Amino acid sequence: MLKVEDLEIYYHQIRALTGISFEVDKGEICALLGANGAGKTTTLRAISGLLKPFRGRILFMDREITSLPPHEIVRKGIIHVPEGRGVFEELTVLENLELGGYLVKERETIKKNLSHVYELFPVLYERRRQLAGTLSGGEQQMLAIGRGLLAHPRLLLLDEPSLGLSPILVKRISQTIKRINEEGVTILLVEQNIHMAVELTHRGYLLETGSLLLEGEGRELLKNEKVKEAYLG
Amino acid sequence: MSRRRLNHLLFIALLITGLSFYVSSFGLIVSSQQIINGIQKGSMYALIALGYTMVYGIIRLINFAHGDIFMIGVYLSCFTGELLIKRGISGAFLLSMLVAISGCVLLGVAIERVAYRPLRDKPRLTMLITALGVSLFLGNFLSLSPHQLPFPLKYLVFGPEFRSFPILIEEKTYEIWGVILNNIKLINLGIALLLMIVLEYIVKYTLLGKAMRATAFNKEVALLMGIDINRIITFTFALGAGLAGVAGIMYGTTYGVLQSPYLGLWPGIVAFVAAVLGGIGNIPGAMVGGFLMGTIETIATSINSSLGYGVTFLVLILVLLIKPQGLLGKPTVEKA
Ligand SMILES: Nc1ncnc2c1ncn2[C@@H]1O[C@H](COP(=O)(O)OP(=O)(O)OP(=O)(O)O)[C@@H](O)[C@H]1O
Ligand SMILES: [Mg+2]
Repeated sequence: MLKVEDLEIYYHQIRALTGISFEVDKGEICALLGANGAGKTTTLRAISGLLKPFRGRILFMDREITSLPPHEIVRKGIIHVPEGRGVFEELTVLENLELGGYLVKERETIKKNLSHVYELFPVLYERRRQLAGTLSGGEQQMLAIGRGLLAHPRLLLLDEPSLGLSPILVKRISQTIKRINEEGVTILLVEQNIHMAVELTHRGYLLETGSLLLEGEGRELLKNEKVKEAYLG
Repeated sequence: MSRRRLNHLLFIALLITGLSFYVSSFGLIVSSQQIINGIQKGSMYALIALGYTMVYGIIRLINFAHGDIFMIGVYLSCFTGELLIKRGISGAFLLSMLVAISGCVLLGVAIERVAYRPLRDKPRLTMLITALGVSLFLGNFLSLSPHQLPFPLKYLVFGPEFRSFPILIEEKTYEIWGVILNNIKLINLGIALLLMIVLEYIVKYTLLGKAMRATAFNKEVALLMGIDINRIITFTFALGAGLAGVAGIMYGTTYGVLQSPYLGLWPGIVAFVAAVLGGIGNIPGAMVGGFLMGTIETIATSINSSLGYGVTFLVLILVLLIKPQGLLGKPTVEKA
């Protein structure tokens, strides 16, 4: 479904990705793991068009999307839920959700998606008139994911959805991600919480300082020395 | 009580004290007359201030060229009005206003495209200086005398001399309890209020308005929503410039003379101070600030004809000292 080929990214003079290649298959949850600063967020930002690669190609459903502007990429169904949530704090919860469906023209679809999100996260319904900035961290994360769902994604890029959440919330978010996936959304998951990632994912890649180290099946990743090194020191 | 609250109260106390001194020394009728004049003038300032504040909100730029866009609105409505009246076409007021709005919108959008957009990723000072350059260019270029210019250019400039503004609406005056009102000012005030309501509606309730606020808050996340932020920025400039166009015809119909293409300078400055007073980036703030500045300036001028200028800057200094975030703005830490 998504194919990244030889992706090389610079921030000014600094090379953040040194030419990585990987694939995400339709219907799976794929993990992108790696220590702080490995280049996970950079990879997602390149896929969603926020960064222009120096070299390499990104293909989505066999079409090249490498140089498309972000809004065209969203239109194709790739939705990026950014690190640190990035909710619009000065807008209400409902307004945030509506903006998630910015490119969806049919009112009916929006209504349907909205009630689906409310069903996944009932707290968002209770808080819909509240400013998003007044939500707790966990609620903001739910809002960020819910907002992503409003666009009717085919591929969801999740950047550290468990960041700063209590174990119980991590579990809930994790279950929701699984459910979203079962409903047909392919997911590329970036996680620091390796246990959560391994629980959830079918397959994963390990990044180290800008290059891809290895690929592995869910639980097997956990046993790998390199993964242990990257996460457990 | 926090220092911020204290400053807020201090500021409002200052305003009220000033006002009550004025009323007690000049009497109720004179004062009400001046306050009404001030509100009317303030509605013009408010319309201009909205452009400053919206553009600042979305790209953090003080668009110095905004006063000149307003000036072009004055001239465009003047030329259109003259033409229509000469031809005896009715509806000159509305048609001139439409021409002023369209011309200003085109110009505002063009300036953003040509001068600001290429600099968006550069340090903010670069864009600010460019805005200053655009403003100086417009004022100076349009003030050139047509006789001294070669063929195509001579039709583009306005020339430095006085012009009188055509009479688009027959003036009627009314007197209520000794206070004199006139129809032109009332119509202008009505239009301004209507536009403010429409603007507030757009920004608050339409998807476009929500996208504007989202873009102002966080461009990168706005992009991830599929918002084409270039379109939103263009739209913001268009809105601001259109309102300046309306302010332009208000200026023409109220004052009746066009001094020179530098005439945008002073209203531009007052409206900028109004936007700062209300809290730059804050839309209701610009409205409140505009009405306040119009009233303050009118009252000051009625006491001594040259006092208006000084008082405007005094307000700017006081706001920046006491309450830099403005009356309605939230305090923010400004990043360089
Ligand atoms: N805007 C930027 N300018 C310069 N360098 C950057 C920028 N953003 C990221 N980098 C650098 O690129 C490298 C990769 O960063 P990235 O954010 O992709 O890491 P990450 O794997 O997401 O880390 P984390 O787990 O901490 O989120 C880091 O060395 C970082 O310092
Ligand atoms: Mg990251």
